[in-house]
Amino acid sequence: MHHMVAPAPPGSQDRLIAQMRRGTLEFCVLALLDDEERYGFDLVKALGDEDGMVTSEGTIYPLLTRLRRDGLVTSSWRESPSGPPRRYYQITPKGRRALDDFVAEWRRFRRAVDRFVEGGER
Amino acid sequence: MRQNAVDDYIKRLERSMRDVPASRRNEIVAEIREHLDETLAHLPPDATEADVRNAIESVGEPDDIASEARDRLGIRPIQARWTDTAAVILLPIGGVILPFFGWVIGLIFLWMSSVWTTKEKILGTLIVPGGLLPALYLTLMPTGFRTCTRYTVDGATVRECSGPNGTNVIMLILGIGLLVAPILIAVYLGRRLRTRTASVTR
Repeated sequence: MHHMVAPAPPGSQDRLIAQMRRGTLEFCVLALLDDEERYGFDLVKALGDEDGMVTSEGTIYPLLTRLRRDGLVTSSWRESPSGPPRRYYQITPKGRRALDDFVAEWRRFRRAVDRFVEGGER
Repeated sequence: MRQNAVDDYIKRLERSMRDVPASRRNEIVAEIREHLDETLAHLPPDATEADVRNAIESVGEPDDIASEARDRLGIRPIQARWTDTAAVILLPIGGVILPFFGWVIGLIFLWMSSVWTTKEKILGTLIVPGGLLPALYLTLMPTGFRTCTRYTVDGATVRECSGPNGTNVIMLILGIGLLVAPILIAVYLGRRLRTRTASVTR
């Protein structure tokens, strides 16, 4: 009797990649805020400059709201040179700790995956 | 024209996010409105309507943003159960179908539900005790309109009236009030039910 490997359902790989981006996005936001405080539009543009990180700009805002509720970022209003005041986001000590933990884990993960996928190519 | 397009988009976004708690929804909507305003401000002054639409589209489909908000904020869309719909129907007319008990069953369904807030449940309980039953009892009591007839007897006009007098009219008004209140409350509860269990597209 043959054990057949069920073919991956169409689009499942796209979904996996979308999930990976989605899961790491919050740490990209934290990393961007680690350098300097930013307001929403600026943050979205910085993420959008990196190809494939953000598919639709508006989806960042629910994430920012959650990060704020979880105490990983705070926000404060600042006057803008043009137009109404802007809400600027800053990383908190808790956010920085979460970022550090993620970075350590991410490096370990990346090294392990690289070893396999690059080893296979040789 | 630009402002119209933004308002339109914001309205669609609010509708998509109607089951996200208001405090968080308002925050996200306000941020996205700001984002939109800024996006449009960056367009050249001679931007066409197509440019404006493209810029708005780059912000994303309202449904996608709403589902992202539910995911990120851990909001499970509330599933309407059949008992929720049954409560809305039974509260006003259950007592008429099955005297008194129909209303009691509606009341149990109302309090079992996870859709309505406690305040709304109290409203549903206090405003419609018995549903339409007391209203029907009051309005169906022999009332009718007061009618007067005039006739002339020996050159003098005589006015004779029959029908409900003052107190009966008050009963009638009370009856109508009791008739309207349960319907209004049921409609209100029904609308809350529909709003909270917004269809989720994924």
